[in-house]
Amino acid sequence: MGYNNEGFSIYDLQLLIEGLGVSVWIFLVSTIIGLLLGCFIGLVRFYRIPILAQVLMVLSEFLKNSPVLVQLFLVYFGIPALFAIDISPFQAAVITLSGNTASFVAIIVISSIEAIDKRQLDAARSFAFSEVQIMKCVIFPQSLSLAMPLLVSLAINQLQVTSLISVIGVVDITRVGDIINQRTFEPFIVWPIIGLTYFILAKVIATVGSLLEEKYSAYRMVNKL
Amino acid sequence: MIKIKALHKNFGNLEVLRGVNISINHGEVVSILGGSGSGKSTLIRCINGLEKVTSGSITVDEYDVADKKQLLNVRKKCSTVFQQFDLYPHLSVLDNITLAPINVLGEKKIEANKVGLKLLESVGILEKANNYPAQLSGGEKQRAGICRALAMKPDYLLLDEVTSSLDPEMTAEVLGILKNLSGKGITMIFVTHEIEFAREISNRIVFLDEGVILKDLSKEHFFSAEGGCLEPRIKKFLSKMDKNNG
Repeated sequence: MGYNNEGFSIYDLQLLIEGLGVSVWIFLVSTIIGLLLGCFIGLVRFYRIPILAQVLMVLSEFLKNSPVLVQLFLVYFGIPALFAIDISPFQAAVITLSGNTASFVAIIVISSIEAIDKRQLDAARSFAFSEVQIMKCVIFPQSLSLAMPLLVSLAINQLQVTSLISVIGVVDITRVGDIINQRTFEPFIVWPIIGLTYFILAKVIATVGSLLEEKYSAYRMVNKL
Repeated sequence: MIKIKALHKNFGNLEVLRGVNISINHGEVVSILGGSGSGKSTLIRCINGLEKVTSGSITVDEYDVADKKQLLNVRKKCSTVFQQFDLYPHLSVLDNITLAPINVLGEKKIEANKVGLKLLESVGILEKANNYPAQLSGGEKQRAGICRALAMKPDYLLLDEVTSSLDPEMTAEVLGILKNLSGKGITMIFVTHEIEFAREISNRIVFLDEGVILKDLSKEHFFSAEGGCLEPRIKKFLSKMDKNNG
């Protein structure tokens, strides 16, 4: 018995770290864009801004209810064909994941704003706040406390989804695993390591998330006297 | 001066206010009485534009409530105390009080805090300044609600059934504070069930029934035998309430 792992080299570690960097980078960029875009879509739909709200609803429903892999192919192969421009796998990955994240963020934004008691709106309005101030000072901080757990679990899910981009040739950590596996034929060493890496990243997100959750929910957690 | 002319308010097919005319002068303390569904809360919500009127007009001093730009001026002049307190749960009691003075009136934080603490002291909950609303009793919440309203230095105080969510002991706390306020020049408009209290502090009673004003009399006249009691609807209301209040 016994296996040799002569196939592995120190460069595999370097490759792994590079792949990890690509995965984390794409995750961060698409999460930030997705958050901003999702807030925008959510607010447009909350305020029922005519036409734009309907267009964005159809778009985000499509993004929510179709496989990410299909969206990825559509962006990667579709955009060049449609607009006659070149698009790198990285760009295609960021566009797809941002859009997909945004569609879920939008739902979280709408539902967590709508969950705030309407009387809070009345109270704030009665004190002559502008609508922007009401959102910023009264509604958003409360919504954030409701949205935070949902956003954290969405982020963890979207981290796993980034592995799909390996299919179009982005050398992320999954693709690195594939490369090393093809060479060494050691799937039971390679894939557990790759899996563990995602696991550790997810734990980091969860830890940061629970700190944020604690911060924004402090007012709901106080002991009642 | 608040002037309400031919005010109608419908919710769908339901006519809640059916032609209300009333003027309220500076310094008056007016109690609006009436049974459930008489439209009294709706009336007070129309004054600061929380409900859009169906027809008729409301002006507060020189400002027209129906005009979007003037509405903010109306709201700066009128502060509301709510039945369910409606404090901002994510802010400390002090921040609840200073949020509007800082953001709407442009007061400096340090000044706003000073005023806020003074108000909290005057209602006896200074030690709760840094607590969240969830850590307060109902009576304390409503006292904070009153401070929040007063911090805007309003000309008009709108009080929408401010004691209806409180037990008798807490009700007494809050009414005591409001009694101290009356006679200090601030115009107060109470929507209330507390007849005894209305009798004690207001100088004018408006009785609303099914969306119209049944009687609008000075307090003395309203409670005298030839005043409000001549109206059978009011007589019935008063006797029921007296029974409830023991």
